[in-house]
Amino acid sequence: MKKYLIRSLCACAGLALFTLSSARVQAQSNFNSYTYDEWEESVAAPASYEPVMALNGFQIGSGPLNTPQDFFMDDNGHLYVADTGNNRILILDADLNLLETIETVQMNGEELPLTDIEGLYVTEEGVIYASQTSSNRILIIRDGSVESTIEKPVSNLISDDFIFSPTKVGVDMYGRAFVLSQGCYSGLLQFDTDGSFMGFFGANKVEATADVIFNYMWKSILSDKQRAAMTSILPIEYSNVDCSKDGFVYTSTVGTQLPKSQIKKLNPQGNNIYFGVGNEEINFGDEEFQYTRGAANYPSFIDVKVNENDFVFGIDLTSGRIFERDQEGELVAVFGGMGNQLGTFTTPVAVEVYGHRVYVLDRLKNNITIFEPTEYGSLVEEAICLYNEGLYPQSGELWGKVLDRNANSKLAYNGLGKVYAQEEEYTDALQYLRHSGDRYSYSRSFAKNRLVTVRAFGPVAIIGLIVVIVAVRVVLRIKRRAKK
Amino acid sequence: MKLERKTASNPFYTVMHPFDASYDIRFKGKGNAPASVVILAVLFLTTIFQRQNTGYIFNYNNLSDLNVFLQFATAILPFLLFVIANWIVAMLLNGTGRMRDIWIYTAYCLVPFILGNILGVLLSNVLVMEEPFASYAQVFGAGWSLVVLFIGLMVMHEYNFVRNVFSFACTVFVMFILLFAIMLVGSLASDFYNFVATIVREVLLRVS
Repeated sequence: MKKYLIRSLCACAGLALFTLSSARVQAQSNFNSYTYDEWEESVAAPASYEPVMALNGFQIGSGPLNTPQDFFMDDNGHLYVADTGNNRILILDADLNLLETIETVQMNGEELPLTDIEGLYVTEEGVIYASQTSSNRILIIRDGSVESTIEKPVSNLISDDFIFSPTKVGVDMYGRAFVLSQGCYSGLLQFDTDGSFMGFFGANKVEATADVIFNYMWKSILSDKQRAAMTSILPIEYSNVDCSKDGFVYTSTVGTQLPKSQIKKLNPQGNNIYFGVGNEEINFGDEEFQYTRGAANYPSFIDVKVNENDFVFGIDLTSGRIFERDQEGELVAVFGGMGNQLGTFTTPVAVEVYGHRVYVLDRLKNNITIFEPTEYGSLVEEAICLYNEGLYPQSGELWGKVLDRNANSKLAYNGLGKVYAQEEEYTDALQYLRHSGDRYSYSRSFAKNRLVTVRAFGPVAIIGLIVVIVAVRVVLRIKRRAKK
Repeated sequence: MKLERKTASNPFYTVMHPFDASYDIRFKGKGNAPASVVILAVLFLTTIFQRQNTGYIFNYNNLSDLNVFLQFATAILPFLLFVIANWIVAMLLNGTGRMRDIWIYTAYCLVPFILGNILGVLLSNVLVMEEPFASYAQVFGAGWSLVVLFIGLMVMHEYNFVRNVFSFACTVFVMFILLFAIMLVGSLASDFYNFVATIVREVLLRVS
């Protein structure tokens, strides 16, 4: 009897161990992870980011959140959450512990409640830019009191019936504010450090869809009066703005008609400089679309964030996924999705990064989700960083490791190929570059390889050719003499 | 009929001497039908060769996704459409060409096009992106074919230049009409098939 007991105990322990270990091995996320191959078809890939936790207001210790619209992570790991429905700003640490709650601020000696805050930005000195959309102003808050405000600018660029309703705001390293105003199609409003209006900045262009071209043709025929009666075509307004440390302004656009350039990187002139290899416009989101009644559900980006290594994170409202791309527009990671489980969202509104962590705010679920990179995800990022710094052999080693974990990784093939090309091992380089689908790099390596081949065999071939020609002539002459 | 060296029965002679050769094919019966079929077969093989073996730098096809029937259609269908359309137009515009002669001559005219494509594919394997000479070879071959085709059909139908241009324009138009008719018949046929299949399924269900 005792024997049986021990045996069954052992079996139980074994089973427990087995289930535990298998649970660790599986480590399955609640969403699919994938990447795209050369022909824009999705192929399986290991998870790059995994959800660590998702906390709601109770778990944070602030009481329930109510439709939070935006949050911002500063350099010290302090997360400022605009809890819009509750008229307050929460300050949390990087692990989402509540540090401070701001409900009112001092303004002209009076207590001002923080109503209807849709956008937040915090500078390095801890100055909070909070946009009050329905009050048509932006509060600049230093140490709990309003230092100044940004209100509807007076300028001949702006008509009298223009309604200044700021939603999102970004502040660059020089203290210039880039403001997004609802219903304003001329781009971002740019304000100087002293709050004076500098002009519009980087408007979206009208997309050349069939409708637009058709309208344009009609308008060239019609009279002015008829033209005025037609619907005017306006570019789509931006949905969010982020200022990177190196002085560029990133913008995201919701609801584009064509899946192109949803995320823009604007240089100081306000021009988009975010393009892929061969100056192609980047589709930041999914390449495969789902269709409802024949119309494609294109990706629709609600927020964008750039981390310290210049990786761009954009969050897509259509699929609930977060896309991470590098500066060449290559897909680094896809994670998240729509749903009710950990790591999925119903209405994501904002994304932030701190160190390696990614934070996502959900407006309807009223919670904040934290993602951390997996071993695979951090390998990929590290390899890209090393390559960009010019440390080719080291990055090659890492790309090898990435390839061990994901044979579908276009990035890894590309990285290894370029490393081999650097080391002038063109045969290997060509093989890897071919798998990566990067024809530009392939062409460059091919040209160099061709030169090497021609140099190696060229002299021999030419000498051989001369020898053959001479030999044929001699033989012919001898034959002719023999005939005589 | 033999492929004699310096007569119109030889496609290579034909593409070098389109005036004489097309006259001979039409009025002296020099055309060689088996040769035209061989040329079409080679055309079909060339399209596959071009799709699969163009150098990687210039080749944007997914090599593992080859559909031979589609390739056959893209190679042969335009030829068939052109021949039939041209014959129809010839009947309307008092052209003297017969179907058999148009077929043979058009097939012969494809030779420079095929050779240009093969040369282009071979070149594309040793050239890089900044050197687009491979496509020059293909354009040159196609251009030659077109010129020879134009001259030959002018002689064959006993047209003048302007009438021949008009005939070509009509031919392209009729080709589109034919294509439309084919699609119409195809969709009707599939609808009819579905209809019959549904009835059969229904009857089988009731019976059992």
